[in-house]
Amino acid sequence: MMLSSFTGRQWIDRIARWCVSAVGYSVMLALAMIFIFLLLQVAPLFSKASITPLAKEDTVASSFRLLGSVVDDAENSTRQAQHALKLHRPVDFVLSTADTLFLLERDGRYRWLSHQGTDSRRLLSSGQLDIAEITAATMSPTGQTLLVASVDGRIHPYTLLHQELIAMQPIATSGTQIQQLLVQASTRSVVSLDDSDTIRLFHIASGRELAHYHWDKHPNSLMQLSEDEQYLQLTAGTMRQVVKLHNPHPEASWRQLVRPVHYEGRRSADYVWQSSTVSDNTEAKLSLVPLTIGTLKAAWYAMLFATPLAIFAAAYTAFFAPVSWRYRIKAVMEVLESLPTVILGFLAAFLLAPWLELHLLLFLGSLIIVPVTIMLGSCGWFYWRKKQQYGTDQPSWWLVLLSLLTGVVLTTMLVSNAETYLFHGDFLSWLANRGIDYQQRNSLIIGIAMGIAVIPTIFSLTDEAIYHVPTSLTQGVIALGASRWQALSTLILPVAAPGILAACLLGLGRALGETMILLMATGNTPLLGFDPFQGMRTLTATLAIEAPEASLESAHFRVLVLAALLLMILTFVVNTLVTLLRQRLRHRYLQL
Amino acid sequence: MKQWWQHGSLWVWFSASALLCTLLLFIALISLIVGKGLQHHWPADLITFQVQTAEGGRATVMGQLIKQEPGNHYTTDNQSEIDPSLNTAQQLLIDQGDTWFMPSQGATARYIWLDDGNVLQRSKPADAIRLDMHDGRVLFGVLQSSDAEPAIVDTQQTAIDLPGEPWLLLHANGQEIQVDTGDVKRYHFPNSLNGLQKSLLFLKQWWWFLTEDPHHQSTAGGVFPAIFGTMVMVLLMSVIVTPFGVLAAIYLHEYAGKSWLTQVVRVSVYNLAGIPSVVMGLFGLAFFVYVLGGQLDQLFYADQLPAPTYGTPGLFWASLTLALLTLPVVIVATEEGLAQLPMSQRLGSYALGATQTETIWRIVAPQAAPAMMTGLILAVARAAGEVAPLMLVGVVKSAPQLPIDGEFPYVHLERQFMHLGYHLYDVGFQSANTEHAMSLSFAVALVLLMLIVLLNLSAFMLRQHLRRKYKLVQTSMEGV
Amino acid sequence: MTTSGTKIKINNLSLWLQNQAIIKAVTMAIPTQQVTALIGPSGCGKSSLLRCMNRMNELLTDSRIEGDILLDDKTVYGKKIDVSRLRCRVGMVFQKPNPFPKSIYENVAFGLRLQGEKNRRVLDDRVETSLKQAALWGEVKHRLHDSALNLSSGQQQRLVIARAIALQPEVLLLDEPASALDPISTLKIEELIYELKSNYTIVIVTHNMQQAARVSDYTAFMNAGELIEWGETHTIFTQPLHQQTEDYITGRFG
Repeated sequence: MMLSSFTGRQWIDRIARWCVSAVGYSVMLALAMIFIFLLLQVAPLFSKASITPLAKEDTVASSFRLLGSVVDDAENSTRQAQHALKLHRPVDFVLSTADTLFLLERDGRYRWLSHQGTDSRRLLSSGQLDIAEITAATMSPTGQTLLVASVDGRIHPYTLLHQELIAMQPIATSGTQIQQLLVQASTRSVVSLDDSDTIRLFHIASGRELAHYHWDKHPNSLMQLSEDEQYLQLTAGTMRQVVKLHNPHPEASWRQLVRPVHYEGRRSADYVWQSSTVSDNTEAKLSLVPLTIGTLKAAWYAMLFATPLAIFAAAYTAFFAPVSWRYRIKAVMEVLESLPTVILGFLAAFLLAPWLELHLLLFLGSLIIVPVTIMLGSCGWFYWRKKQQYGTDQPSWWLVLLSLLTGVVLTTMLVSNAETYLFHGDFLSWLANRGIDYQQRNSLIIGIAMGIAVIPTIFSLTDEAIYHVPTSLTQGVIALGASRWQALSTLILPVAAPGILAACLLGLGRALGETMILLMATGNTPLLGFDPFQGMRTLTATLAIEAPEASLESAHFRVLVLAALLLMILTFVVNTLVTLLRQRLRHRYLQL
Repeated sequence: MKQWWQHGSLWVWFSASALLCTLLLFIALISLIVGKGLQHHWPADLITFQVQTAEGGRATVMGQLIKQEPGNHYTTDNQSEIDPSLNTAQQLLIDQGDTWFMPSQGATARYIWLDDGNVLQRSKPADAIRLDMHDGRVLFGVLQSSDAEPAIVDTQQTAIDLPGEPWLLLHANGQEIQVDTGDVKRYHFPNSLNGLQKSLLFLKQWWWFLTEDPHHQSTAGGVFPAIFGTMVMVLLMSVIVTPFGVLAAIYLHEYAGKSWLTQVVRVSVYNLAGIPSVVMGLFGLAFFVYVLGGQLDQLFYADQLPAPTYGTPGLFWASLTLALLTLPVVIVATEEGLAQLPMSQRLGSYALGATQTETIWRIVAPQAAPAMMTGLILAVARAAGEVAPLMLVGVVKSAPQLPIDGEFPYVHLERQFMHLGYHLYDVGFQSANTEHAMSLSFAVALVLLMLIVLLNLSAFMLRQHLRRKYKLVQTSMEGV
Repeated sequence: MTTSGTKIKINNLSLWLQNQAIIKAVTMAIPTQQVTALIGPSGCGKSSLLRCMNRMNELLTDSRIEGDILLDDKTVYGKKIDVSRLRCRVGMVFQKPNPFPKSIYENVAFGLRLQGEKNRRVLDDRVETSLKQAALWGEVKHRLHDSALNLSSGQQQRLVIARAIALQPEVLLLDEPASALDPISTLKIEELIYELKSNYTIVIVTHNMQQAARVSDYTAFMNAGELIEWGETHTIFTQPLHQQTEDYITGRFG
């Protein structure tokens, strides 16, 4: 038998190894790709806007149509207006849209007229802007935003709301006097041309400078937008230059995503998520703050409900209950863990929510009364057992159940009386009179429903952590005369603490990523704040609702992807912490 | 008092009651779904109520008693307003069936609340019939032959075998309508059925529910396409996820070694299990549907553009997305199985001259097979219950065609499909309107629950069995 | 006792595991169709040396080897060596019995099947002779298709030996084959080794001095990775050259 020859078996081995490795690598790559792909989708959101001059011979430059008619219209309307209002001297700025006419003087006096049809004009309002001298003015084609440049080179946006002008945050520019302003309506941006012949592009709502371009040595130039608003024509006498405005996603920047923004048609700066625009006239408002707060709020209430229940229950299962119980309880928990969340969401939204609305006081009352009953039960039991000279370690489960049920019955009795005498028969209207608004789908519902979804996760890990603490430790402490609870609280829990923390984190991870319960039972209103009687809108639910409707390349879609990435990173960090904690725990148990 | 506090029996009581609370919640949850879900198909008696009206007259109402509650009811048309007139006695919720066929009376609500105090008399006429119409309506009444004599109908029948002339249905309040026998899908006489017959009918109704198509925006009919869609999707997903998951696990455990890089990769894979499913759905939508699907359309279905073939959510992309979602589940379970296998088994095989592939194929894989099975079942259970990602990549409220049919090429991977979980979501949102949809939702939830619990219990049992088995074989690697 | 040529020759062999020297420049020869025992305190590298002979050490991460092992004067550490064939020629039995979770029959036939042997008659034949050689045939002949896991651990160990000799190896490496067994099973294994040496060259690692003395013809004593001395068992046990050897065999350390 020769040793040194290569057989078919060897080749098969090599090929198989190669194949398996290839699959292994490809799986890893695929998983890495998810992250990279999502990043690539988000990246264009933060790409810079630009203004680039086109070469003279560029065909686009000669072929596009100007939005020029506006100028003629304006002159036309000016004449008409002067005629109709019998003005004796020309107005400095006449700004017109489809149905309004805005007459503005250099010193800030203004008159605002509506013109329906050709002749019927009505004065909507008039007054004085708080600006010393106006150098340029323009209005968005929708007539919702007025932009005025002051002599110090700042641009003052105003939003027109119910016949009232509301000043928005002024946009600071270089300080040079501005000659002309133009609105790029599709992107809610404004282009300014100043005395130094620099064109600057600003996003109106955020006041962010997106790009600028310097046109050399051409005083007294004039800008005109092309019809599709993609190009800008600059003319100075016979000189002509066309520049391209590349402004892909002005509505999304870190500032807009995480800071309050004053949008047109609103009274003040705020965090707003309103992605679906009714028409082209309204701007998508993409603040991630209300959604993130919603996600955190939902997770917070779920954890508030789940953590104490799960940890106590796990402590009992792992430490006090007989081992034969433990397996059955674990099986039950396993089933509970795999319960589709759409079922929980359904129950929460259509059964729990109406029930809780009727029995809110019962629920809140039982949170106080039931623990008190259990406390009394335990106290009574302890002294009774002591007197009878029995051991005083473990109550039998039916005694506990009895006191639990007693608590519930007691609450029911107390609450119906309390509601009648203390709250005039109806707790909710009592709350409403005190300015507390109760929504049917609220954080309490989420706390309970998502709590139920999270309990098994926390339970399993906590149970494992406590159960696998070496028994020698327990025996050691009990041999010193400690009660079982003392052994648990002084020794076992501190040892198992990393495991319990990991359990809570894992539960938190699940709560952050949960979708269906939140989609069905929150009401999906993007609200700020942590009010327990109000609903919320979470990142996950927003993804589920809006992603199928957002078009691929839009800023909206990209912001949704960003939200997804945010969630992914959040849960990834949480889960990595869990893994590290569990490794540490395992290491600790090996040492003991 | 101090003694009691120090001893900590309070906390033992608290932890015991926490466990009891959790278990009670669980039991309540399951029994609620099971009870209400089963109730949906139980042939309820038709009761005739003689009611005193507010004006002092009398009215007759026939229908099924849905529930009975003490007072304090909201008015039917305004959910937030309490109707003080209904505040005292027991309230009865009656399902009258579809009543909008009576133009003279106008559209009465199908569900009405009756005050028990106003009910003068209840009776259960043996010849009361329930008609399930082809158009989804449900009618209650008493049959009349054309000459106003009670029709001679065998009240034990449940299927149409009466051909020919139209029936006259006498409604409880004295009105008559003509029912064309061709429009009647099924009927039965609930009051004259005994327990056994009711049980049989109950089973039959379940069978119909599981095998028929839904109609009337899913408020009537069965859930067959949803079950079928779930099954096909899960099957396709299994076909994709099993080889990749198992091979990746084998690679990680048998080939990759123990460098820090593989550790990082392993931790990352494990953590992927925790990534929100809806994020995976978004990835599926952006990458599979828009990018891959778009490319496929350009390459192979260019003639049908701009109508997308694969560039739109569909079965294949849904399966692929869920495969990605459940990949970590399979990998983790398989690797756990591989790790439980003692090293001595592998060494024994090598010592007999087996190559690594032969060792894995003949010794390792057969013993780890149950673990792989467990992983797959867990993955399937997860996929069957997942709804959020599917909403992005292919599930619809009602699909006109099944993903598999007799039409070439028989399996239509690009089609959209129905899914049980999503069906529940859809029907659930209609259940705010009617008691019927609510009860239907419970039936759907029950089917979904049964599917998931079955899958999970089998995985749990398989795993317990596995652990017990390995305790017998457990021999550790020696000398190293 | 006569020396009838050398089966395996170890030339200046050193082994590192994770940059830790396990075996330091060992040179010795294993005589053909004799029992050679490797003795020494725990962790002295005797098991590792055994594993080097059929290249099982390669399965551990980070192992590095210097020097050479010659089987019938041909190197086993060449680049083009088919390790599978090497392991067929040099069989191995481990400390704890490791039967596969298959039937007794399939356990013994496993190696043959790997070779591609499909002929039922040949397989039956070889299984029978192997089990007979391993002195197990009488106990299991009526339940060949029962699970091997149902055997007692003594029987399992003999089954594992049968499994190894079914491939008709030239060398049999036994790594403390009796350490996990009860005294009676140990005795049986020892008898078996005695029987087998007429057909095979046997290398046995053992902790048990009496065992080494009882079964082996040659003994090598190792300590801390070094081969202290080797020679005929009789000589080593009665007139050791080194003080360390004497200390060890008289039980003063180890």
